[in-house]
Amino acid sequence: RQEGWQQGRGGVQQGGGGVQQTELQEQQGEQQTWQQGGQAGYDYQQSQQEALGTQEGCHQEQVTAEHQQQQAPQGVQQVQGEQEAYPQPPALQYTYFPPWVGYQQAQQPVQQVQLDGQGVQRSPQTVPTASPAHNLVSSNWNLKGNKRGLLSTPQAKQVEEMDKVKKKSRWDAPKNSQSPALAAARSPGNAESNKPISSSSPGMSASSPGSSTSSPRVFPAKPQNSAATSISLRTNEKQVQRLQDGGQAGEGEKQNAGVDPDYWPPALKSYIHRAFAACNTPADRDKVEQFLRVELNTIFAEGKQWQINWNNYPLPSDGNFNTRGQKSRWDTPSPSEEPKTFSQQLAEGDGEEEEKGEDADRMQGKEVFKKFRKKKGKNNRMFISTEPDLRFTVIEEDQHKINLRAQRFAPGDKKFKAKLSIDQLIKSTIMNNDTDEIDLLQFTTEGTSEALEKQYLRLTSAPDPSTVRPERVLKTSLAHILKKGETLKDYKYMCEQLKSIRQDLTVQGIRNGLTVEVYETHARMALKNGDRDEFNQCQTQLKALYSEGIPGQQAEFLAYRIFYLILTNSTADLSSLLGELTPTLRSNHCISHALKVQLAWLLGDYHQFFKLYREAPNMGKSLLNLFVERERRTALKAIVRAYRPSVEVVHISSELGFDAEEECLSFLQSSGAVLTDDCVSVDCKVTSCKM
Amino acid sequence: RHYFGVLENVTCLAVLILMSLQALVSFQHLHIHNQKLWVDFEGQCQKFLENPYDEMIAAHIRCAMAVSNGDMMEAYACQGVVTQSFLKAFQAQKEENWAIPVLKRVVSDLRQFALKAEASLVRSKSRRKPGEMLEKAADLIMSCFRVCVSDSRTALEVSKRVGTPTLVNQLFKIYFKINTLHLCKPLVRAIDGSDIKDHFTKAQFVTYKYFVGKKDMFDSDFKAAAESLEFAFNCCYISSQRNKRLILIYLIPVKMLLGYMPKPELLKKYDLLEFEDVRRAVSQGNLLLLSQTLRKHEAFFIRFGIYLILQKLKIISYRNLFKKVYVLLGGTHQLPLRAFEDALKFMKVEDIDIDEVQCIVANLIDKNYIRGYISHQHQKVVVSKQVPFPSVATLFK
Repeated sequence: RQEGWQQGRGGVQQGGGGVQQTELQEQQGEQQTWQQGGQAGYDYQQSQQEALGTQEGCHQEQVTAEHQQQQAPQGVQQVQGEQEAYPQPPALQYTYFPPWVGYQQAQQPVQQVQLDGQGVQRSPQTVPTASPAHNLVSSNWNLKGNKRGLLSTPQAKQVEEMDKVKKKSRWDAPKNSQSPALAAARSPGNAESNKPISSSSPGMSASSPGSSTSSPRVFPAKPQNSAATSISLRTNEKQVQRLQDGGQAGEGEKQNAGVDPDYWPPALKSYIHRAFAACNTPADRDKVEQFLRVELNTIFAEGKQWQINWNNYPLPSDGNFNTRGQKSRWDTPSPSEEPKTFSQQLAEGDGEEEEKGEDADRMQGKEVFKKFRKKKGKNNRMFISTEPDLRFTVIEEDQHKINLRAQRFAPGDKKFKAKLSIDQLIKSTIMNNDTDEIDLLQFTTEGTSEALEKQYLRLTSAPDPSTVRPERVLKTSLAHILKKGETLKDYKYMCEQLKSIRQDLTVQGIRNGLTVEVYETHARMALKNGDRDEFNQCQTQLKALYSEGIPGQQAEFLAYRIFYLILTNSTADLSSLLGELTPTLRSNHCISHALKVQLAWLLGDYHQFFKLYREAPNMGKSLLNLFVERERRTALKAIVRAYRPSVEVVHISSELGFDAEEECLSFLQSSGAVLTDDCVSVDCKVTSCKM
Repeated sequence: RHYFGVLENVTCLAVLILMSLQALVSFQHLHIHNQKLWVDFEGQCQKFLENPYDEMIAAHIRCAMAVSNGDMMEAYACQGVVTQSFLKAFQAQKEENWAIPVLKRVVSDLRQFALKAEASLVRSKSRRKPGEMLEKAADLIMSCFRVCVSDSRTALEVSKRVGTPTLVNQLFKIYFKINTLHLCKPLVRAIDGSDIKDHFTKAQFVTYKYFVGKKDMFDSDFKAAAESLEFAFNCCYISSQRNKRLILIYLIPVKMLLGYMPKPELLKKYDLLEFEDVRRAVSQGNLLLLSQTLRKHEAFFIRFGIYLILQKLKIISYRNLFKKVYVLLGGTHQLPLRAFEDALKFMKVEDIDIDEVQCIVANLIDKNYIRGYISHQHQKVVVSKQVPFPSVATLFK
């Protein structure tokens, strides 16, 4: 509702401002954009903005046209000849208003009043009709406008008609080669056309969808008078006829040639003819049409149509086309881009309250954001007023943005979409790693395999239930393997069997006493055979299983973990592990032993360490074996540095936890220790220097 | 609505944004309590904002809702989306780094929500493994870090590298929380290899040094640890008493290991009296007192992860005790091992025999705390005539 009004007002000011647009006006244009914020009219606003400071009289038409276009879907049928049916504003008004604008503006406040009745409160500045506001704008407008208004009125009217026809011909494809527009223009008293007038607001302003052809982007940015506009539009008509006549463009041109001989040099006509003749495909034609319209508008605006040698003028080719993305919009009008009519808006009734509040808020916010808007507007104008090429790229970019934005308002449940997207995002960001765990818990299918032994294969896809053994079978399988292992003593075989049992447990999501038993068994077996990696895997799993409250040999494995952390020199982890120990655990002999080992290791107290090493419960010794060599070396280093002149091998052997002196001797040899001549002592001085 | 109005403009405008966007996605801003924001915020976001800012703000508002509903898991997940969306936008900005304050805010909130999510998991006795939320948060922050570090070709003024200090610190915080200190090493290396190490703010550098010092301490590189922690302590903002205290908790044990004992006034000032007896025990060589006080304040020391470090002070205590024995024996250079054994037994050290004494002395000699040698044959320690017990501090110079 307000769009139309805003545009109307904007239009007046733009017209008034003339070529030299003030920042204020641009700003206003910006504000319109903003106030519409997200409504369908956005792109029109954008285009209007582009036109700012570039057009005068013709611009008024555009504004009107745009406004009408927004209400187009409703009005297509009614439109024909409607313009004629409009009560023409008195001549005096023409001096102030270009034809349509004046009328529209006069009408807009009526709508406004109606809205007011519904509780939309307008600030005083918006209430006055266009005319007073209009009087405020620069004085040269009146002079110019006067002249222009008079000049342009009939032409513009005609143009409008032709546009309509063109659109109609495109959309409805009437077969008559005679332009219906002309016919309509000659019969102003059309009965049908009275309808829109009598209907108070929306229908009245409902107008030709064809006005999209005169969308401001079509016009070059250079100043031009309304005559040029009408001519450019007449070009449209010509092209329309070309289409209608199935390529007999020449005929259409001839027909038109009679209409306005002043403006159309014959050479130009043949030039256009040649241009279209060079086209092979409809797409090409569209391009040429587009190009010519832009080109000719410029030329007419500059009044050079008679100066140019049209016979030598370069024909439109791919090189100099300026496809501005309009074509696609034209050919496939997407519903999302179709502006809402006033009545549609009303029908939707998306919160009078909301709209109002929004506006009020923005009015407040306006001050704050004015600066920014202003800046943006300035930039746009700068682009427009510089090189045309640059401008086109900018427009194209804008167009892209507009399309993007338009898509956002495409029909569909936005809320749902948004919500969905965030839910998905949540899943894809934070919860992405959950897949493993969730998958495991999701497996409810029980295996059906009865095999006691199974080769371990790394799973690359979902498991086949026929190869997975249920818990009952796994239990017997474990017993079977352990029995077999006693005699077989083949760690590799055992490891594989246990791994396959572990896998079957995992894929079926079985986490209970059996699981703990399997992992504990495997961990011990790995320790026995010095398989550090396998032990660590089991240990990690066991830690998780214990923390889930499944009972097992928790203390024993906690002690192993302490040893393992010593093995990996993880002081920080050991420190935090201390925090996990409850007094009960602490008093457990496995753990208290492990803690003593830890302290001895920390202080380099090899005497204590190897004493504890000998006493290690369970499989502790196996695990300590993994780093006992390392400890012996550091201890030996200390010994040879501390003792003089020598130290007996027996002493070293007992201090470093060797079971037999021979072992110690081979260790000493491998460490590079030098024995004294009698071979019972290590020569510390020599060894120390050597090490 | 005003919130969205501000947002809309903020996402376009590079000047205002710095302050505003930071505030608008922060959880320390008043808008968090504005329930009006909750109405159709997703639609509003889409309407006003461009991707990925719409995602970011929608997730942020949803996060705010979750917070007020007390659903920390949801809040954390939403903050994750905020981070991800922000990163998308951030990554797309070439040769500009104005968004770094926003990055800071977003990442810091993410970490805090991860902590809270973790706590709520513990409370609900979930089967998820502990530290999982923090790990994922760290992954997200790590991806931010990568973006920042890889922006190495731009000039520093516009480079995202400027964002690395804050990210490193956030990552440190998480890594220390979940005990994955080995992940710190690549970070330190990345910082050392970058010119950014000279462009930390003082606050960032204090935090950075604090963590690096802590890490060095756990790696038993006490000298480096002392340097870093000392820097952090000296440069820490004077009224950040809590932070200063935190630094001291690590600095004191490290310094004691290096032979510097804290003054009682310092311990008093920062309410660290737990260390008082430790200090006394170590300097007196009073092993009995040391083990007693360690047991007494075990919980405190374990909480800060310094229990094992303090255990190492036993070595210094042995040295001090043996020095006393040496003095008591009248300065003779041949000290019977038996005398040391008696002293240790006096201190009620468990499992003491003559071999244990030899082992302890051997270690002290090996580490240069005692200058001399053990004569196994005569069961004596022969100490140097010049400086049999050099001062500990001089050993690390």
